[in-house]
Amino acid sequence: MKFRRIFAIVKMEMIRQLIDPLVLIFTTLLVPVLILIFGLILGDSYGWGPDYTIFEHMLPGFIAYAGLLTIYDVAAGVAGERETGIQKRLSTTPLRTSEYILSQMISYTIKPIIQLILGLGIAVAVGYRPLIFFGDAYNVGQKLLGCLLVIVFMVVFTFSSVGFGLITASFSKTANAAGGLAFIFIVPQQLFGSFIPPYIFGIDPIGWAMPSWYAARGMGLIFGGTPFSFWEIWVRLGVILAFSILIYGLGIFLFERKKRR
Amino acid sequence: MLESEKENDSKSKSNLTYVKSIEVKYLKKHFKGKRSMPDVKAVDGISFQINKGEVFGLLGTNGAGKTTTINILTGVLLPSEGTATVAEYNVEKEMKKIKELISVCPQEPAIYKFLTGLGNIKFFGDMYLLPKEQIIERAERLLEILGLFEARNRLAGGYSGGMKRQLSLIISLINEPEILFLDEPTVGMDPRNRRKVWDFLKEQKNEKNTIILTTHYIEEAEALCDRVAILDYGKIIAMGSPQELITEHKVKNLEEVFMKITGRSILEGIA
Repeated sequence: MKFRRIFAIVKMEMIRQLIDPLVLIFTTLLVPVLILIFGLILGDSYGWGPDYTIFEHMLPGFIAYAGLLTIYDVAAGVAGERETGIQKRLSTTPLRTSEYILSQMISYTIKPIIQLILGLGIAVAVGYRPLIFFGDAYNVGQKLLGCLLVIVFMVVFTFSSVGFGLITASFSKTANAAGGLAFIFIVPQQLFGSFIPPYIFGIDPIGWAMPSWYAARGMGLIFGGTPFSFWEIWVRLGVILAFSILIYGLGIFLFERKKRR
Repeated sequence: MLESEKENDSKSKSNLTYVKSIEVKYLKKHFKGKRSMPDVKAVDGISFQINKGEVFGLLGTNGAGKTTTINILTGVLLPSEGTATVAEYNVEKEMKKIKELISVCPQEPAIYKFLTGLGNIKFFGDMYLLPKEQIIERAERLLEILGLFEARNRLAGGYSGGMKRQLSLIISLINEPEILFLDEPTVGMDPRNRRKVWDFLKEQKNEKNTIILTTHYIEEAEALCDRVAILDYGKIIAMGSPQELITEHKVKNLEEVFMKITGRSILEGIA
């Protein structure tokens, strides 16, 4: 594995995103703006139970949603490269599939992390006080560990989305088709595992099949101040990791198969 | 084979000790027909060999099997039947080694529109892990020769069709490949730039480098190629030096050779 190649692709992907600032701003700010709107409207509403506001129920799902949108970015980006012949050209260079995939993972994880930071910042600004960061029972070390764990959840979850993106791209002939097809993986995860928590409507078991459910519920536990020793946090992280490896493996297999037939 | 022998073998090949740059035997590539459509025999049992230092042309109409042949030799496609070796490495089993020695200028420009011309060249130079200074030095030289130096810092998306093709050609030369595949390299270029590319490719000809060129421009094949293979419906219908073929068929040029054998013009179906 040659890191120079990986770095070159990551740099190229960053330029691709920066070349159209309007699109970049829109796609990066979508989730933070949703958080702002819902935070202002539902920040004081307890319609879904006495312990948390509706916004507090929704917030982890909004953050997971940022990782979910990566499916679209990866699918459209990879299919677009195939459409223009760049994939074919790259496949004739010494670039390895593992290097290409790793560079995609890195490139497409940066934006969701920025969205996570922006989204949490806005949530705090509109009055959200996650216990892990604001509770008196936690020292600085525990707060930092909480931060780190949330980022780990986001990164591992985004990896599964990159895998879904590669699967989508392997079935699509054009970037437009890939963009449309991506919603097959986005919408169910959005409905049953993101900002509309399925447990509120008694349909939680449907969410168990969605990586986003584990990401949102895992981050929810951390925000809620659940001790890090609590098994459920680690089981949820483990399940997303297993999902990611499985989806990723399938994504790479289909990508390779499409690359050389 | 022992590891040390493999290593020696690899070293010897990188030292250009192989004689046959490419050897193709009974190569076939069939694509399954979709729905009720019949299977397509894109390449149908072709055999040829290309010696080191040769410029070899694959000549034919659209759909003759030229690009499919190149795609098999460069690892984009797997053959359905037959064997092919590049620098004596098998294309099915030893593609990693082949990729270190070759470069491809594909039919479509295949460049990043959001990178500058120089940015594209540097990116592909990084794929070959070339030293940074070497990339810059080679890039500037090639940009100068092909007349793109002034436009090197402009976004490639703003280039004209001909400039994109020239940039694509420069990218394919950045690693100074031992074996260079050019798939219709001058399509879309105006006659002046086409002539410039031909002159440049003629300068590239030497005993170490092998060039495989697909084209449907007769003048291009006659000007550049030591030998050509004329393909039609996936089969080689004639092979030899342009002069040999012209003499053998008692005609004036390769276009007439093609016409005499197939009864059609080589430019048929080309817009």
